[in-house]
Amino acid sequence: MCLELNDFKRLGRGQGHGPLSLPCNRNNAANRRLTARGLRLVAAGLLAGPALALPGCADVQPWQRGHLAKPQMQLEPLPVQRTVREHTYVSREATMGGGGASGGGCGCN
Amino acid sequence: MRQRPLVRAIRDAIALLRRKRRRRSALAVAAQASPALKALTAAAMALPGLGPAPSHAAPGDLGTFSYGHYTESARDLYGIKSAYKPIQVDSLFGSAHVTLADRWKLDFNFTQDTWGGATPMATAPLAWGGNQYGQTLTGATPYLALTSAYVDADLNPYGPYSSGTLNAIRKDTRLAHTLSTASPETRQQGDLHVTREWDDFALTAGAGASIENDYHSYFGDLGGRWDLNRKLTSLTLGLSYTNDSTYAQLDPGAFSYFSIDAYKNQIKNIPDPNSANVRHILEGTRQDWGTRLGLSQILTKDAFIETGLGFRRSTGYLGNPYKTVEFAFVDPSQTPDTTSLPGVSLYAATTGAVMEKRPEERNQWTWDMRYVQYVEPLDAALHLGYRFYSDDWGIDSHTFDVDWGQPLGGGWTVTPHFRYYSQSEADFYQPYFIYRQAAPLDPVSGKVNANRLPVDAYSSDQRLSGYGAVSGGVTVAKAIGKAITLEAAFEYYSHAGNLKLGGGGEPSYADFGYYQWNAGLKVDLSAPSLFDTGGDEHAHHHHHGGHGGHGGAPAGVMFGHMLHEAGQVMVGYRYMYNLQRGNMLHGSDKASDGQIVANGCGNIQCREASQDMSMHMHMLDLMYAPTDWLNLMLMPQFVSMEMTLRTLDGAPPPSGQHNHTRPTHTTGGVGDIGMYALVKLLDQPGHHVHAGIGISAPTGSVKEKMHGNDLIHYGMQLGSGTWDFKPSLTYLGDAGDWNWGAQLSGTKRLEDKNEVGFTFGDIFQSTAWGGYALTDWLNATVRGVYTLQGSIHGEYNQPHSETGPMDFPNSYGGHYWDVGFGLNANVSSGPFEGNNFAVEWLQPVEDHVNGYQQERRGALSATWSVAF
Repeated sequence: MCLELNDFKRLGRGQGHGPLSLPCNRNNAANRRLTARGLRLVAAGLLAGPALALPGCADVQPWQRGHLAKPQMQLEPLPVQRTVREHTYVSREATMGGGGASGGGCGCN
Repeated sequence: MRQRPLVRAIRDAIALLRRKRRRRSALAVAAQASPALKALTAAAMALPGLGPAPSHAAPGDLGTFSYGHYTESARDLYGIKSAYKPIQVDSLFGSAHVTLADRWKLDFNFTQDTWGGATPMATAPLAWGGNQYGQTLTGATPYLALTSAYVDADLNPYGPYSSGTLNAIRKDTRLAHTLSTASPETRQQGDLHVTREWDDFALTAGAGASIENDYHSYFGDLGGRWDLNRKLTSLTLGLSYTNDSTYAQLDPGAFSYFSIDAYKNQIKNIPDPNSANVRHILEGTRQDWGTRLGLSQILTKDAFIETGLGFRRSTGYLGNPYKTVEFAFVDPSQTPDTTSLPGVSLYAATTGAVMEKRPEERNQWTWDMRYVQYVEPLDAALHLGYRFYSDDWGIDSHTFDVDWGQPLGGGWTVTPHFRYYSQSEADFYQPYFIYRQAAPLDPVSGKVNANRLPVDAYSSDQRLSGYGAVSGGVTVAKAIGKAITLEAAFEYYSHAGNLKLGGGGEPSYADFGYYQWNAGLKVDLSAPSLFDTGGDEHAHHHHHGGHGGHGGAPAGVMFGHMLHEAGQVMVGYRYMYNLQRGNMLHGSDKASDGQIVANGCGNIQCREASQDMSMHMHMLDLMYAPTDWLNLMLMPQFVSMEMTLRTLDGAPPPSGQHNHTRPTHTTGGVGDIGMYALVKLLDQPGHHVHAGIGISAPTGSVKEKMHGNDLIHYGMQLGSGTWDFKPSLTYLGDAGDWNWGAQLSGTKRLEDKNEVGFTFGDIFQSTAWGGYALTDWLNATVRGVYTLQGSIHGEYNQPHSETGPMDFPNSYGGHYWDVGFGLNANVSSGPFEGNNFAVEWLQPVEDHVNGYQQERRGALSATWSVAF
């Protein structure tokens, strides 16, 4: 069972309503333009993800997953390195992580 | 139907895995099994929830420990030498990932950073005297007041201004930072997560906190994973909440040079008990809500993809209390001055620095994607990642990264990585702000009134500017046996305006780079059971022989046990905490404030004394037995200390340069590394004696400073600064359920003075204990300790703090009696099989101090070790 593209379109639209209706401090028009542009890109990403994934619906049987089980093939093969680097990037760049769960606190000025 | 036996074999392999899970890691099973079973096990492990898999499934039980260092390059200050070193950070990271019970997992992470050094506080045109241009050294006070500010009709800056004449000046659009610094500060962060797994689902819940003097952050999160499509596809959903509070003291050296109008209601003015100064504390709170929806999909037997969509909303005080913005106002009604430059007339600008102000909300979206491909001919893995980020502050960013995981055989794996990052600037970012209008000055203070600025959000923090960054590095890992993996990594990072995607980034004055490295080890906590294959007798020997065979010395006793078999390796971790709080003592008696003021500081009067002081020490304990009578030990350590000061009753008024405006001082970083050899002298049933000889190398800093340039109190330096000789003699005995021991140990300084002119006193310690085995795995101990330490010899030969007894060599050392209560656990079954845990509390009984010192409240020691 693969996910339907429509599911992602629906999700994309759902994401759109909230943020667009948020009050903005100033320069509402500019913000809305940026927001709309961001959303379009995000929606494109959401569509691109499953589109790339669709060919993967070809069956890979459990006993064919030996390569995928190798340490170097894990999503995070070096978790300590990821933690160290991400912490530095977040303290030196404007981008706030990947949107996932994490704590604040910078240890920097 | 030909698949049936295979399906059955997989089912058997899974059943086998589940049965063995409590005692052995899946890897151990794979290592011992037949090739066919190995392949099946590897296949089974690919099922999320059963082993490492693309869908975030957990690997085996692990403990990790790592130390890292970060150093930033100096900023381009156009030939001016800054009095400050760029930022440096020392960090320590530890984690444990353990199976609590079938399908329940626990994750614990701990991080400690100590950082200090200079960062930009403001930016201004060089021509206007930004950063004291024209002088040779920037001083200890951030320089925000500009000497002159002239612009032409197009608002281009002109300078330098010299003695009232405009003739020497020229157009100069270069910008410069004003740097600011702070004394070292330490941040500690811990978090705990619990995961419950089902066949097709997993739920994780966790919480944590990050604590610094000026910033507290508390967070909680929930995550779920749903495997579907016969585990080819996994969906994840994460929710997080963060609640932060800022309690920041504004830079006392710079405070009088910037305007705080916009934050008047958030700033508390607290009179400093130590001086005529007032401490200005900015308080703010912030909340973040975040969510991420992720999808991972196995594409082929050699590739999978993971993608996610995240949203984060931040509200509250989102600014940086240590950043200011330079504003310039050119009154259009003025008559311009003519100059000798043809056609150039100059207008005077009124300038002023203002605390930066950001919008109080921020909505952020991310879309990220990671593609992982196995490259069979090389047995390598290629990771390609991309992340798009956009927020309603006007910042868009793109991140590309690529990793190549290459196993080389012999347990080596090399993983080079490369990353490119580019961001656009925030709507309210400018290096400085200039307007054609009369300056909105406050009639009372004469400063720019931040409530009457033409903009309502403004920042000159270069993190919000447009720029690009490239970074690259390599991680090298080496597996030693089945249980231990050493890992070291290096990365260099370069931030530059001209690396921005599409151009138009910030000019080069804001460019900087950093490098960071870290080294550590990873221990497979389930691996010791691998050595139990020789049967129960061997296992028994391993568990008890590995930890002394005598119930184990109390946690606070170092060098308390030996490894008894040639070739054995032990990895351990030791944590020590001690606290001083309460009365000030002189000898064994309580000292009054009046006595301390009069006598505690040599020829001058004391003004301050410690209110409390705490120390945390983290040590890695590595031990190897080349023969059965000799053990070699390596003990790197990481220390952090915090001292809060109070003003003594009857203290004299402050004398200028040593005014404390930050009553809490912190230091932290790498301590002295110890290298030891233990030699077995006697080993009979019921009696064992070994001697230890070793040295401690002066790797810990003795040049830690306070705000400004003064060396901090002697006792807060991170090391001794000298090579030290550390002998010990240990006796262990046991009979039935009873066990006992005694130890003599000492520290002899091998040098007359360290690089800053002093040595700590020598130390002698004797201790004896008795223990009783409460169960076959738990031992309780009681012990007595006597410690003698000399006072400091010599004194600082560089500028240093001299405000209280802690700044004088004769108020160090003394002799002390303590009583310790401890528990030792040698785990012989279950998920922690083969591990040794011990904890001990030392309760002071009597203090007899040299000079004037604060009484001790107690010390906690906790150790963990595992032998292979």
